[in-house]
Amino acid sequence: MSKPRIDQLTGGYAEGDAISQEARLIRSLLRSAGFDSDIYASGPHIAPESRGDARPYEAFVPSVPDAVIFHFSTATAASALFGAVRGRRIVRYHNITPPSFFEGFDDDVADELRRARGELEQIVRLADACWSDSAYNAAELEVAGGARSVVLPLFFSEDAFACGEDAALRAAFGDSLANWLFVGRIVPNKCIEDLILAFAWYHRCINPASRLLITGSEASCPAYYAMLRLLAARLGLMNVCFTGFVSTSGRHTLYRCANVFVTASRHEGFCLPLIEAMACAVPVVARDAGGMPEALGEGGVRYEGLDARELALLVSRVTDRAPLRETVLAAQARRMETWRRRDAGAELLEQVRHVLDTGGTAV
Amino acid sequence: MNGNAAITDASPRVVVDGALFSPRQLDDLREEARALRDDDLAGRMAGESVILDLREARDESDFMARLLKRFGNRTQIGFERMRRPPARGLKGKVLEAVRRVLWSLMRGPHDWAAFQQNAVNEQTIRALAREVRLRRREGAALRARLEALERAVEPAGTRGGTMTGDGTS
Repeated sequence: MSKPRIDQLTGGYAEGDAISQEARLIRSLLRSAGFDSDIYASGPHIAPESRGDARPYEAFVPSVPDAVIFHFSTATAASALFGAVRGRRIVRYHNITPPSFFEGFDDDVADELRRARGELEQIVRLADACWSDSAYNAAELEVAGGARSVVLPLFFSEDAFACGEDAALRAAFGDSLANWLFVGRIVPNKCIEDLILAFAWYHRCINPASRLLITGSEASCPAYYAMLRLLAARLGLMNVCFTGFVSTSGRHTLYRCANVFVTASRHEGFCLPLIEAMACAVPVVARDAGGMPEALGEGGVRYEGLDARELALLVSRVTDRAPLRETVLAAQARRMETWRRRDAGAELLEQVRHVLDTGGTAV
Repeated sequence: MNGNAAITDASPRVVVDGALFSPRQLDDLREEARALRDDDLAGRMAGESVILDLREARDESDFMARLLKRFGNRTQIGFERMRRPPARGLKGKVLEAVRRVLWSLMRGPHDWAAFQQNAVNEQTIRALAREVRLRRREGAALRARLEALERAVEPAGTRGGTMTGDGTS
Protein backbone atom coordinates (compact mmCIF):
# COMPACT_ATOMS: atom_id res chain seq x y z
CA MET A 1 0.00 0.00 0.00
CA SER A 2 1.42 3.39 -0.95
CA LYS A 3 1.96 6.09 1.64
CA PRO A 4 -0.39 9.06 1.76
CA ARG A 5 1.08 12.08 0.00
CA ILE A 6 1.02 15.74 1.01
CA ASP A 7 2.78 18.15 -1.34
CA GLN A 8 3.49 21.84 -1.03
CA LEU A 9 3.27 24.65 -3.58
CA THR A 10 5.42 27.75 -3.14
CA GLY A 11 6.03 30.77 -5.38
CA GLY A 12 9.82 30.46 -5.35
CA TYR A 13 12.40 28.40 -3.55
CA ALA A 14 15.75 29.51 -2.14
CA GLU A 15 17.92 28.59 0.79
CA GLY A 16 17.62 31.79 2.83
CA ASP A 17 13.97 32.52 2.13
CA ALA A 18 11.68 32.16 5.18
CA ILE A 19 8.81 30.48 3.31
CA SER A 20 11.20 28.01 1.67
CA GLN A 21 12.73 27.24 5.06
CA GLU A 22 9.31 26.54 6.48
CA ALA A 23 8.32 24.39 3.50
CA ARG A 24 11.51 22.36 4.00
CA LEU A 25 10.77 21.84 7.67
CA ILE A 26 7.14 20.87 6.98
CA ARG A 27 8.34 18.38 4.37
CA SER A 28 10.79 16.89 6.82
CA LEU A 29 8.11 16.62 9.57
CA LEU A 30 5.66 15.03 7.13
CA ARG A 31 8.21 12.54 5.86
CA SER A 32 9.13 11.56 9.42
CA ALA A 33 5.44 10.97 10.12
CA GLY A 34 5.21 8.55 7.22
CA PHE A 35 3.90 10.74 4.44
CA ASP A 36 5.35 11.16 0.99
CA SER A 37 6.00 14.83 0.44
CA ASP A 38 7.58 17.12 -2.12
CA ILE A 39 7.87 20.85 -2.71
CA TYR A 40 6.90 22.41 -6.03
CA ALA A 41 7.91 25.93 -7.04
CA SER A 42 7.97 28.08 -10.14
CA GLY A 43 10.95 26.77 -12.15
CA PRO A 44 12.55 30.16 -12.92
CA HIS A 45 12.21 31.10 -9.24
CA ILE A 46 14.04 28.08 -7.87
CA ALA A 47 17.51 29.27 -6.86
CA PRO A 48 20.23 27.40 -8.80
CA GLU A 49 21.72 25.89 -5.62
CA SER A 50 18.27 24.53 -4.62
CA ARG A 51 17.33 22.96 -7.95
CA GLY A 52 17.59 19.39 -6.66
CA ASP A 53 15.56 20.15 -3.56
CA ALA A 54 12.36 21.54 -5.10
CA ARG A 55 10.56 20.47 -8.26
CA PRO A 56 9.13 22.76 -10.94
CA TYR A 57 5.35 23.22 -11.33
CA GLU A 58 5.50 21.28 -14.61
CA ALA A 59 6.23 18.11 -12.61
CA PHE A 60 3.19 18.56 -10.36
CA VAL A 61 0.25 16.24 -11.00
CA PRO A 62 -2.82 17.71 -9.24
CA SER A 63 -4.65 14.37 -9.06
CA VAL A 64 -1.91 12.58 -7.12
CA PRO A 65 -1.55 14.14 -3.64
CA ASP A 66 -4.04 13.45 -0.85
CA ALA A 67 -3.55 17.04 0.27
CA VAL A 68 -1.68 20.12 -0.86
CA ILE A 69 -0.35 22.97 1.26
CA PHE A 70 -0.29 26.17 -0.77
CA HIS A 71 2.05 28.85 0.62
CA PHE A 72 0.29 31.99 -0.51
CA SER A 73 2.00 35.38 -0.57
CA THR A 74 1.91 36.53 -4.18
CA ALA A 75 0.29 35.73 -7.52
CA THR A 76 1.88 32.78 -9.29
CA ALA A 77 0.86 29.93 -11.59
CA ALA A 78 0.42 27.85 -8.42
CA SER A 79 -3.06 29.33 -7.94
CA ALA A 80 -4.31 27.47 -11.02
CA LEU A 81 -2.61 24.25 -9.90
CA PHE A 82 -4.19 24.60 -6.47
CA GLY A 83 -7.61 24.89 -8.06
CA ALA A 84 -7.05 21.64 -9.96
CA VAL A 85 -6.04 19.60 -6.87
CA ARG A 86 -8.36 16.64 -6.26
CA GLY A 87 -7.30 16.02 -2.67
CA ARG A 88 -7.65 18.33 0.33
CA ARG A 89 -6.54 21.91 -0.15
CA ILE A 90 -4.79 23.88 2.58
CA VAL A 91 -3.82 27.54 2.29
CA ARG A 92 -0.82 28.59 4.33
CA TYR A 93 -1.26 32.36 4.43
CA HIS A 94 1.93 34.41 4.80
CA ASN A 95 0.32 37.75 3.96
CA ILE A 96 0.61 39.81 0.78
CA THR A 97 2.76 42.95 0.81
CA PRO A 98 0.60 46.00 0.00
CA PRO A 99 1.36 46.83 -3.66
CA SER A 100 1.78 50.54 -2.92
CA PHE A 101 5.22 49.82 -1.45
CA PHE A 102 6.47 48.68 -4.86
CA GLU A 103 4.83 51.33 -7.04
CA GLY A 104 7.53 53.29 -8.82
CA PHE A 105 10.23 50.86 -7.77
CA ASP A 106 8.87 47.86 -9.66
CA ASP A 107 5.49 48.17 -11.33
CA ASP A 108 5.43 44.50 -12.36
CA VAL A 109 5.76 43.34 -8.77
CA ALA A 110 3.13 45.88 -7.70
CA ASP A 111 0.77 44.41 -10.32
CA GLU A 112 1.59 40.88 -9.18
CA LEU A 113 0.74 41.77 -5.58
CA ARG A 114 -2.46 43.50 -6.67
CA ARG A 115 -3.41 40.33 -8.58
CA ALA A 116 -2.64 38.24 -5.51
CA ARG A 117 -4.96 40.38 -3.38
CA GLY A 118 -7.61 39.95 -6.06
CA GLU A 119 -7.15 36.17 -6.05
CA LEU A 120 -7.21 35.83 -2.28
CA GLU A 121 -10.96 35.44 -1.87
CA GLN A 122 -11.15 32.78 -4.54
CA ILE A 123 -8.15 30.87 -3.18
CA VAL A 124 -9.73 30.87 0.26
CA ARG A 125 -13.03 29.64 -1.18
CA LEU A 126 -11.22 26.71 -2.75
CA ALA A 127 -9.51 25.76 0.49
CA ASP A 128 -10.60 23.07 2.94
CA ALA A 129 -8.50 24.73 5.63
CA CYS A 130 -6.55 27.96 6.14
CA TRP A 131 -3.47 28.23 8.31
CA SER A 132 -2.06 31.68 9.08
CA ASP A 133 1.39 32.16 10.55
CA SER A 134 0.28 34.98 12.84
CA ALA A 135 -2.94 36.34 14.33
CA TYR A 136 -2.18 39.49 12.33
CA ASN A 137 -2.35 37.45 9.12
CA ALA A 138 -5.42 35.55 10.32
CA ALA A 139 -7.26 38.82 10.95
CA GLU A 140 -6.33 40.09 7.51
CA LEU A 141 -7.40 36.83 5.91
CA GLU A 142 -10.76 37.08 7.61
CA VAL A 143 -11.31 40.61 6.31
CA ALA A 144 -9.91 40.11 2.80
CA GLY A 145 -10.75 36.49 2.15
CA GLY A 146 -13.74 36.04 4.44
CA ALA A 147 -12.28 32.92 6.01
CA ARG A 148 -11.47 31.94 9.55
CA SER A 149 -8.07 30.39 9.89
CA VAL A 150 -6.10 28.63 12.54
CA VAL A 151 -2.94 30.40 13.72
CA LEU A 152 0.13 28.21 13.38
CA PRO A 153 3.24 30.37 13.95
CA LEU A 154 5.90 29.97 11.29
CA PHE A 155 7.69 26.65 11.67
CA PHE A 156 11.35 27.19 12.46
CA SER A 157 14.10 24.90 13.63
CA GLU A 158 17.34 26.05 15.18
CA ASP A 159 18.96 22.93 13.73
CA ALA A 160 19.57 24.98 10.59
CA PHE A 161 22.13 26.96 12.61
CA ALA A 162 23.93 23.82 13.78
CA CYS A 163 26.61 24.48 11.23
CA GLY A 164 30.06 25.98 11.26
CA GLU A 165 30.75 29.67 10.85
CA ASP A 166 31.68 31.41 7.63
CA ALA A 167 35.35 32.26 8.13
CA ALA A 168 35.40 35.02 5.51
CA LEU A 169 32.44 36.86 7.07
CA ARG A 170 33.88 36.39 10.56
CA ALA A 171 37.17 37.91 9.36
CA ALA A 172 35.38 40.79 7.66
CA PHE A 173 32.91 41.74 10.40
CA GLY A 174 34.05 40.07 13.62
CA ASP A 175 36.27 43.00 14.64
CA SER A 176 35.75 45.51 17.42
CA LEU A 177 33.21 47.70 15.61
CA ALA A 178 29.67 47.75 16.99
CA ASN A 179 27.55 46.01 14.38
CA TRP A 180 23.90 46.87 13.70
CA LEU A 181 22.43 43.98 11.74
CA PHE A 182 19.43 43.81 9.46
CA VAL A 183 18.48 40.56 7.71
CA GLY A 184 15.81 40.37 5.04
CA ARG A 185 15.14 40.91 1.37
CA ILE A 186 16.03 44.42 0.22
CA VAL A 187 12.49 45.52 -0.64
CA PRO A 188 10.62 48.79 -0.01
CA ASN A 189 8.26 47.56 2.74
CA LYS A 190 11.30 46.92 4.96
CA CYS A 191 12.00 50.69 5.05
CA ILE A 192 15.76 50.20 5.18
CA GLU A 193 16.20 53.92 4.45
CA ASP A 194 14.92 54.60 7.97
CA LEU A 195 17.66 52.35 9.32
CA ILE A 196 20.31 54.15 7.30
CA LEU A 197 19.14 57.55 8.57
CA ALA A 198 19.08 56.34 12.18
CA PHE A 199 22.48 54.71 11.77
CA ALA A 200 23.87 57.98 10.37
CA TRP A 201 23.04 59.73 13.65
CA TYR A 202 24.39 56.85 15.71
CA HIS A 203 27.62 56.64 13.74
CA ARG A 204 28.25 60.37 13.70
CA CYS A 205 27.10 61.42 17.15
CA ILE A 206 27.20 58.36 19.39
CA ASN A 207 29.67 55.72 18.24
CA PRO A 208 31.92 56.26 15.20
CA ALA A 209 33.33 52.75 15.68
CA SER A 210 30.16 51.21 14.29
CA ARG A 211 28.85 49.51 11.20
CA LEU A 212 25.45 48.79 9.66
CA LEU A 213 25.22 45.35 8.05
CA ILE A 214 22.38 44.92 5.60
CA THR A 215 22.06 41.27 4.70
CA GLY A 216 19.71 39.96 2.06
CA SER A 217 19.18 39.60 -1.61
CA GLU A 218 19.02 42.85 -3.55
CA ALA A 219 17.66 41.06 -6.64
CA SER A 220 14.01 41.44 -5.59
CA CYS A 221 13.92 45.21 -6.19
CA PRO A 222 17.05 46.64 -7.84
CA ALA A 223 15.64 50.18 -8.07
CA TYR A 224 15.05 50.31 -4.31
CA TYR A 225 18.52 48.92 -3.71
CA ALA A 226 19.94 51.65 -5.96
CA MET A 227 18.15 54.29 -3.86
CA LEU A 228 19.62 52.88 -0.64
CA ARG A 229 23.14 52.82 -2.09
CA LEU A 230 22.75 56.42 -3.24
CA LEU A 231 21.51 57.46 0.18
CA ALA A 232 24.37 55.79 2.06
CA ALA A 233 26.92 57.22 -0.37
CA ARG A 234 25.56 60.75 -0.21
CA LEU A 235 25.45 60.69 3.57
CA GLY A 236 29.11 59.66 3.43
CA LEU A 237 28.44 56.43 5.32
CA MET A 238 31.25 54.13 4.32
CA ASN A 239 30.33 51.77 7.14
CA VAL A 240 26.99 50.80 5.66
CA CYS A 241 27.74 47.36 4.22
CA PHE A 242 25.42 45.51 1.87
CA THR A 243 26.48 41.87 2.09
CA GLY A 244 23.97 40.54 -0.46
CA PHE A 245 22.51 37.07 0.03
CA VAL A 246 24.46 34.91 2.47
CA SER A 247 24.17 31.20 3.20
CA THR A 248 22.71 29.83 6.46
CA SER A 249 26.19 29.50 7.98
CA GLY A 250 26.94 33.05 6.84
CA ARG A 251 23.76 34.33 8.46
CA HIS A 252 24.63 32.48 11.64
CA THR A 253 28.07 34.15 11.62
CA LEU A 254 26.56 37.60 11.13
CA TYR A 255 24.18 37.11 14.06
CA ARG A 256 27.21 36.12 16.14
CA CYS A 257 29.03 39.30 15.05
CA ALA A 258 26.03 41.56 15.72
CA ASN A 259 25.64 43.83 18.74
CA VAL A 260 22.02 44.48 17.89
CA PHE A 261 19.44 43.46 15.32
CA VAL A 262 17.37 46.40 14.06
CA THR A 263 14.43 46.48 11.69
CA ALA A 264 12.22 49.41 10.68
CA SER A 265 9.98 47.27 8.47
CA ARG A 266 6.42 48.51 8.13
CA HIS A 267 4.92 45.30 6.82
CA GLU A 268 5.71 41.76 7.95
CA GLY A 269 3.45 38.75 8.18
CA PHE A 270 5.68 37.28 10.87
CA CYS A 271 9.44 38.07 10.39
CA LEU A 272 11.58 35.00 10.93
CA PRO A 273 14.88 36.93 11.37
CA LEU A 274 13.56 38.19 14.72
CA ILE A 275 13.40 34.60 15.95
CA GLU A 276 16.82 33.84 14.48
CA ALA A 277 18.33 36.88 16.22
CA MET A 278 16.75 35.92 19.54
CA ALA A 279 17.98 32.34 19.09
CA CYS A 280 21.51 33.77 18.79
CA ALA A 281 21.01 36.00 21.87
CA VAL A 282 21.21 39.24 19.88
CA PRO A 283 19.05 42.05 21.31
CA VAL A 284 16.32 43.07 18.88
CA VAL A 285 14.89 46.52 18.17
CA ALA A 286 11.91 46.33 15.83
CA ARG A 287 9.06 48.52 14.68
CA ASP A 288 5.81 47.66 16.43
CA ALA A 289 4.13 46.68 13.17
CA GLY A 290 2.48 43.76 11.37
CA GLY A 291 3.16 40.29 12.75
CA MET A 292 6.38 41.34 14.49
CA PRO A 293 4.92 41.85 17.98
CA GLU A 294 3.70 38.24 17.87
CA ALA A 295 7.06 36.92 16.73
CA LEU A 296 8.82 38.81 19.53
CA GLY A 297 6.34 38.08 22.31
CA GLU A 298 7.75 39.96 25.29
CA GLY A 299 11.24 39.82 23.82
CA GLY A 300 13.07 42.63 22.08
CA VAL A 301 12.32 46.33 22.09
CA ARG A 302 9.41 47.49 19.96
CA TYR A 303 9.04 51.08 18.85
CA GLU A 304 6.77 53.23 16.76
CA GLY A 305 6.65 56.93 15.90
CA LEU A 306 10.31 57.70 16.58
CA ASP A 307 12.38 59.86 14.25
CA ALA A 308 15.85 58.86 13.07
CA ARG A 309 17.70 60.49 15.98
CA GLU A 310 15.38 58.97 18.55
CA LEU A 311 15.76 55.53 17.02
CA ALA A 312 19.56 55.96 17.03
CA LEU A 313 19.47 56.82 20.70
CA LEU A 314 17.12 53.96 21.55
CA VAL A 315 19.46 51.50 19.83
CA SER A 316 22.45 52.96 21.67
CA ARG A 317 20.67 52.48 24.98
CA VAL A 318 20.00 48.85 24.13
CA THR A 319 23.63 48.23 23.16
CA ASP A 320 25.37 50.36 25.77
CA ARG A 321 23.25 50.34 28.89
CA ALA A 322 23.86 47.03 30.62
CA PRO A 323 20.65 46.91 32.71
CA LEU A 324 18.42 47.55 29.68
CA ARG A 325 20.39 45.13 27.54
CA GLU A 326 20.11 42.43 30.21
CA THR A 327 16.37 43.00 30.62
CA VAL A 328 15.89 42.68 26.88
CA LEU A 329 18.06 39.57 26.61
CA ALA A 330 16.31 37.93 29.58
CA ALA A 331 12.90 38.56 28.00
CA GLN A 332 14.17 37.16 24.70
CA ALA A 333 15.56 34.08 26.45
CA ARG A 334 12.13 33.46 28.01
CA ARG A 335 10.52 33.91 24.61
CA MET A 336 12.92 31.41 23.07
CA GLU A 337 12.28 28.95 25.88
CA THR A 338 8.57 29.01 25.02
CA TRP A 339 9.45 28.70 21.36
CA ARG A 340 11.73 25.71 21.98
CA ARG A 341 9.06 23.93 24.02
CA ARG A 342 6.75 24.12 21.04
CA ASP A 343 6.12 20.71 19.47
CA ALA A 344 5.91 21.82 15.86
CA GLY A 345 5.57 18.27 14.59
CA ALA A 346 2.57 17.50 16.81
CA GLU A 347 0.88 20.82 15.91
CA LEU A 348 1.33 20.21 12.24
CA LEU A 349 0.19 16.60 12.32
CA GLU A 350 -2.89 17.43 14.37
CA GLN A 351 -3.96 19.92 11.71
CA VAL A 352 -3.02 17.63 8.84
CA ARG A 353 -4.96 14.67 10.28
CA HIS A 354 -7.94 16.89 10.92
CA VAL A 355 -7.94 18.15 7.35
CA LEU A 356 -7.55 14.64 5.94
CA ASP A 357 -10.30 13.22 8.18
CA THR A 358 -12.85 16.00 8.18
CA GLY A 359 -11.76 18.47 5.55
CA GLY A 360 -11.55 21.37 8.01
CA THR A 361 -9.42 23.11 10.55
CA ALA A 362 -8.85 21.81 14.08
CA VAL A 363 -9.47 24.76 16.38
CA MET B 1 12.19 64.27 4.16
CA ASN B 2 15.16 64.81 6.43
CA GLY B 3 16.61 62.83 9.27
CA ASN B 4 14.79 64.83 11.90
CA ALA B 5 11.35 64.35 10.48
CA ALA B 6 9.21 61.66 12.03
CA ILE B 7 9.64 58.50 9.99
CA THR B 8 6.07 57.53 10.74
CA ASP B 9 2.99 59.40 11.77
CA ALA B 10 1.94 56.75 14.29
CA SER B 11 1.90 57.78 17.93
CA PRO B 12 5.32 57.41 19.55
CA ARG B 13 5.77 54.42 21.82
CA VAL B 14 8.49 52.08 23.03
CA VAL B 15 7.78 48.65 24.50
CA VAL B 16 10.38 46.79 26.57
CA ASP B 17 9.73 43.42 28.21
CA GLY B 18 6.06 43.75 27.33
CA ALA B 19 5.71 47.11 29.12
CA LEU B 20 5.23 50.52 27.52
CA PHE B 21 7.74 53.27 28.25
CA SER B 22 6.12 55.76 30.59
CA PRO B 23 5.51 59.26 29.17
CA ARG B 24 8.46 60.45 31.25
CA GLN B 25 10.81 57.78 29.87
CA LEU B 26 9.69 58.66 26.37
CA ASP B 27 10.20 62.38 26.99
CA ASP B 28 13.72 61.67 28.33
CA LEU B 29 14.55 59.72 25.20
CA ARG B 30 13.25 62.44 22.92
CA GLU B 31 14.98 65.23 24.80
CA GLU B 32 18.30 63.39 24.78
CA ALA B 33 17.87 62.70 21.06
CA ARG B 34 17.24 66.38 20.36
CA ALA B 35 20.58 67.15 21.99
CA LEU B 36 22.43 65.09 19.36
CA ARG B 37 23.98 67.67 17.05
CA ASP B 38 25.96 67.35 13.85
CA ASP B 39 25.54 70.27 11.50
CA ASP B 40 27.40 68.55 8.68
CA LEU B 41 25.12 65.50 8.88
CA ALA B 42 21.99 67.63 9.22
CA GLY B 43 23.12 69.57 6.12
CA ARG B 44 23.72 66.39 4.17
CA MET B 45 20.32 65.02 5.15
CA ALA B 46 18.53 68.22 4.17
CA GLY B 47 20.51 68.53 0.93
CA GLU B 48 20.10 64.93 -0.07
CA SER B 49 16.44 64.55 0.77
CA VAL B 50 15.88 64.43 -2.99
CA ILE B 51 17.04 60.81 -2.92
CA LEU B 52 14.21 59.86 -0.62
CA ASP B 53 11.80 61.63 -2.95
CA LEU B 54 12.36 58.66 -5.25
CA ARG B 55 9.85 56.87 -3.03
CA GLU B 56 7.19 59.24 -4.32
CA ALA B 57 7.63 58.13 -7.96
CA ARG B 58 4.27 57.33 -9.55
CA ASP B 59 5.63 54.54 -11.71
CA GLU B 60 8.92 53.17 -13.03
CA SER B 61 9.11 55.74 -15.80
CA ASP B 62 8.73 58.55 -13.27
CA PHE B 63 11.31 56.84 -11.07
CA MET B 64 13.79 56.73 -13.93
CA ALA B 65 13.20 60.41 -14.72
CA ARG B 66 13.79 61.37 -11.09
CA LEU B 67 16.86 59.15 -10.85
CA LEU B 68 18.39 60.66 -13.97
CA LYS B 69 17.76 64.12 -12.59
CA ARG B 70 19.59 63.14 -9.39
CA PHE B 71 22.50 61.78 -11.39
CA GLY B 72 22.53 64.84 -13.61
CA ASN B 73 22.82 67.04 -10.53
CA ARG B 74 25.97 65.34 -9.43
CA THR B 75 28.26 63.29 -11.59
CA GLN B 76 31.52 64.44 -10.08
CA ILE B 77 33.38 62.52 -7.44
CA GLY B 78 35.29 64.75 -5.09
CA PHE B 79 37.06 64.74 -1.81
CA GLU B 80 35.92 68.12 -0.48
CA ARG B 81 33.22 66.51 1.61
CA MET B 82 35.39 63.67 2.85
CA ARG B 83 35.15 63.69 6.60
CA ARG B 84 38.23 63.20 8.72
CA PRO B 85 37.63 62.04 12.28
CA PRO B 86 38.87 64.63 14.78
CA ALA B 87 42.41 64.00 16.05
CA ARG B 88 42.63 63.58 19.81
CA GLY B 89 45.75 63.50 21.97
CA LEU B 90 49.36 63.10 20.92
CA LYS B 91 48.65 59.95 18.92
CA GLY B 92 45.88 61.75 17.07
CA LYS B 93 48.13 64.71 16.25
CA VAL B 94 50.87 62.40 14.92
CA LEU B 95 48.31 60.54 12.82
CA GLU B 96 46.99 63.84 11.50
CA ALA B 97 50.51 64.92 10.50
CA VAL B 98 51.13 61.59 8.76
CA ARG B 99 47.82 61.94 6.94
CA ARG B 100 48.76 65.42 5.77
CA VAL B 101 52.11 64.22 4.39
CA LEU B 102 50.51 61.23 2.69
CA TRP B 103 47.82 63.44 1.20
CA SER B 104 50.37 65.88 -0.24
CA LEU B 105 52.12 62.91 -1.87
CA MET B 106 48.90 61.34 -3.18
CA ARG B 107 47.15 64.51 -4.32
CA GLY B 108 48.51 64.35 -7.89
CA PRO B 109 47.59 60.70 -8.60
CA HIS B 110 44.25 61.19 -6.84
CA ASP B 111 43.30 64.18 -8.97
CA TRP B 112 44.29 62.30 -12.10
CA ALA B 113 42.14 59.30 -11.14
CA ALA B 114 39.24 61.56 -10.11
CA PHE B 115 39.45 63.46 -13.41
CA GLN B 116 39.18 60.23 -15.38
CA GLN B 117 36.42 58.82 -13.21
CA ASN B 118 34.41 62.04 -13.50
CA ALA B 119 34.74 61.92 -17.27
CA VAL B 120 33.47 58.32 -17.31
CA ASN B 121 30.57 59.18 -14.96
CA GLU B 122 29.49 62.10 -17.07
CA GLN B 123 29.63 60.14 -20.33
CA THR B 124 27.66 57.27 -18.76
CA ILE B 125 24.92 59.51 -17.42
CA ARG B 126 24.64 61.38 -20.71
CA ALA B 127 24.44 58.09 -22.64
CA LEU B 128 21.83 56.76 -20.25
CA ALA B 129 19.75 59.93 -20.48
CA ARG B 130 19.96 59.81 -24.27
CA GLU B 131 18.90 56.15 -24.30
CA VAL B 132 15.88 56.93 -22.11
CA ARG B 133 14.93 59.85 -24.38
CA LEU B 134 15.22 57.66 -27.48
CA ARG B 135 13.11 54.89 -25.96
CA ARG B 136 10.44 57.37 -24.91
CA ARG B 137 10.36 58.87 -28.40
CA GLU B 138 10.23 55.36 -29.90
CA GLY B 139 7.40 54.39 -27.53
CA ALA B 140 5.43 57.54 -28.33
CA ALA B 141 5.84 56.92 -32.10
CA LEU B 142 4.68 53.32 -31.73
CA ARG B 143 1.68 54.36 -29.66
CA ALA B 144 0.73 56.97 -32.25
CA ARG B 145 1.05 54.41 -35.03
CA LEU B 146 -1.05 51.91 -33.13
CA GLU B 147 -3.76 54.50 -32.50
CA ALA B 148 -3.78 55.43 -36.20
CA LEU B 149 -4.10 51.76 -37.15
CA GLU B 150 -6.90 51.26 -34.63
CA ARG B 151 -8.71 54.29 -36.03
CA ALA B 152 -8.33 52.88 -39.54
CA VAL B 153 -9.65 49.45 -38.54
CA GLU B 154 -12.43 50.65 -36.23
CA PRO B 155 -15.07 51.69 -38.83
CA ALA B 156 -14.86 48.31 -40.56
CA GLY B 157 -15.01 46.46 -37.21
CA THR B 158 -17.98 48.55 -36.11
CA ARG B 159 -19.81 47.84 -39.37
CA GLY B 160 -19.13 44.11 -39.04
CA GLY B 161 -20.45 44.11 -35.46
CA THR B 162 -23.65 45.86 -36.44
CA MET B 163 -24.34 43.50 -39.28
CA THR B 164 -23.88 40.45 -37.06
CA GLY B 165 -25.92 42.01 -34.31
CA ASP B 166 -28.76 42.84 -36.65
CA GLY B 167 -28.75 39.34 -38.03
CA THR B 168 -29.52 40.81 -41.43
CA SER B 169 -26.53 39.56 -43.38
